[in-house]
Amino acid sequence: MAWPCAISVGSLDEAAVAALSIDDSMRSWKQQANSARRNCADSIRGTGIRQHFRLVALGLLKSHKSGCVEQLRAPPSRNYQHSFAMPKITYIEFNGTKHQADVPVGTSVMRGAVDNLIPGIDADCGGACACATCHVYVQPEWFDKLEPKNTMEEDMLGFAAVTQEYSRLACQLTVSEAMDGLVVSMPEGQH
Amino acid sequence: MNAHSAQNLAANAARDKAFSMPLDQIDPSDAQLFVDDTVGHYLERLRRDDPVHLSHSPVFGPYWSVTKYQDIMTVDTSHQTYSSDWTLGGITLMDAPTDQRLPMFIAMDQPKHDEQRKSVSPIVAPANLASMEKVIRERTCKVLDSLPRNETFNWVELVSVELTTLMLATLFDFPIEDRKLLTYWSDVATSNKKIDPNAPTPEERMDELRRMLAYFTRLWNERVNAPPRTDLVSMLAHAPATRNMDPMEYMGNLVLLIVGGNDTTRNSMTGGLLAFHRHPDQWAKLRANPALLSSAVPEIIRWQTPLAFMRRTALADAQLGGKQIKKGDKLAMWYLSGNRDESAIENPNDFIIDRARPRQHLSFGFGIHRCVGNRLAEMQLHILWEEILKRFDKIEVLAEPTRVRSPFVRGYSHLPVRIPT
Repeated sequence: MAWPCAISVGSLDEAAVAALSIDDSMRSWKQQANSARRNCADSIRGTGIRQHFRLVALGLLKSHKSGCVEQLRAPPSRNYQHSFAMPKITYIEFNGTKHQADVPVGTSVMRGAVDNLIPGIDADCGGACACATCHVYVQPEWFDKLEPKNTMEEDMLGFAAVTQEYSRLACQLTVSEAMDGLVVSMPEGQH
Repeated sequence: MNAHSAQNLAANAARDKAFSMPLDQIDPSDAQLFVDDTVGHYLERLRRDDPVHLSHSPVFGPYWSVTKYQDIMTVDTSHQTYSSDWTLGGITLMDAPTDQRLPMFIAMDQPKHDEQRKSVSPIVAPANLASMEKVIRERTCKVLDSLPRNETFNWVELVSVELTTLMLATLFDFPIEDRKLLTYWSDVATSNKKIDPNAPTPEERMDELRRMLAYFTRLWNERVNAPPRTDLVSMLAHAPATRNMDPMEYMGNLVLLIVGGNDTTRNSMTGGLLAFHRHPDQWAKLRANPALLSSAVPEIIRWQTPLAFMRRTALADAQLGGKQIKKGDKLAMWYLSGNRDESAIENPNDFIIDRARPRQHLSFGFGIHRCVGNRLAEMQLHILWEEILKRFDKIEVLAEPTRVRSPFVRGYSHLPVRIPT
């Protein structure tokens, strides 16, 4: 694959954002928020509500050219503050290369990799638990802390190559604040 | 009038016909629509006007056409509701007499499907794929280097069939000098006298498949008592889930693996050339940046959609796209249509080798029956185009292809080309 070889932690490619899948609008909005936040990261520091006000202020100051404005137009969420929680997840490629990404709560561990162009997760089906190409090995100490597999994930994992005891499909791991620090590693290939 | 505008005129007429026909007369399983390559217009009409559509086919009887990407995904991933079981009709629309139905794992439900599939899936595991790359490349180079220059030849025969047959022979560790039998058996297995008058009769078909079984039984017997090896016959003979198969089940699974590994990639190899011929800007783009092959290959597979549909049979009443599906109803998931559904894929009618998310297409199916060899198929195509790029500036397509008379295998029998020196 023609991946950029070095991705700095937390960087986000605009093309990747534009390439957002047709997930439910909320998830997609959260990603836009994520993108906007990153676009504005140079100017803004802070979290939660405080940051929200800063963004509003920034949105008023900046013209509508800014990605931040998009964020302000997005529908407000009941878990507004939560949508800004960004647990850190570490992805380790088969060759040992480590990537760390801030992944928004409510999205999936798969999205965290794909949206940050971290190689090793293919996600052919876009998150429908239908292809088993987002197979990861969860670090053993994390395994029992995650939501257990449902039947479909069990079925699909059955067809992933080289599964191990701690195998999961990353699209089925919905990111929560409790997952800050999660480490997953990728298999040799996604098939 | 030049040939190009005549073609456009014909395409417009075909589209008008599809969009003016009364809905209840639309039957996308009509093989003639595949010979003429006009089925796309009918599927487009159905996506717009009746996305889950009931047809009454003179050949297949009543069946539902599922035409939207998301509905297809729903059916494909709801294997508890929508069965693939061969005793119910399996994965094609034909409800053949019981003695002509073949058990094979693609046409089984859980748990047996899972067990048998796992017997052969290690052959395409990442490490094994990597070890196959060298031999695939050597052969591809050899085939390409032996092509005639400055003269017309059939791309299907000299490239697509030859390369996929060699691959298949390797996977089975099948005597290479007899490899043409594999192509022949593949064609026989997918033939249907009711669709194609030139096809063998059902009896002739079964006789030929029995000859295939006899040949492969010899290979089985050689390998069952030898230490396990990494060819498909040895794997089937040694795996607990398949080593006690009865002969018909062995025959069925052979048909599955031969057709699955042959007809599909073969037609994507031809389809890719046709796609670049019709989209010269994309060929230029690829030549300027061969790294785009990684997305060009899945785009070729989407554009071609070598298997136009897969059938399921409802095990219970269900709602789908606003329609009431009854237990026992059969459905065709038109992958060919889902792959052109603009609510899921941007500019779906265009061939765009650098699209975002190129692998989000339906050609391999999704869910537990997803094509087991999908990464192998991609690798074969990747190597083919990589080696073509190294050798040829241009491959001229000299006429329209001749298409196979089948609504299931969306394929070609002839594509005249010339490689200028």
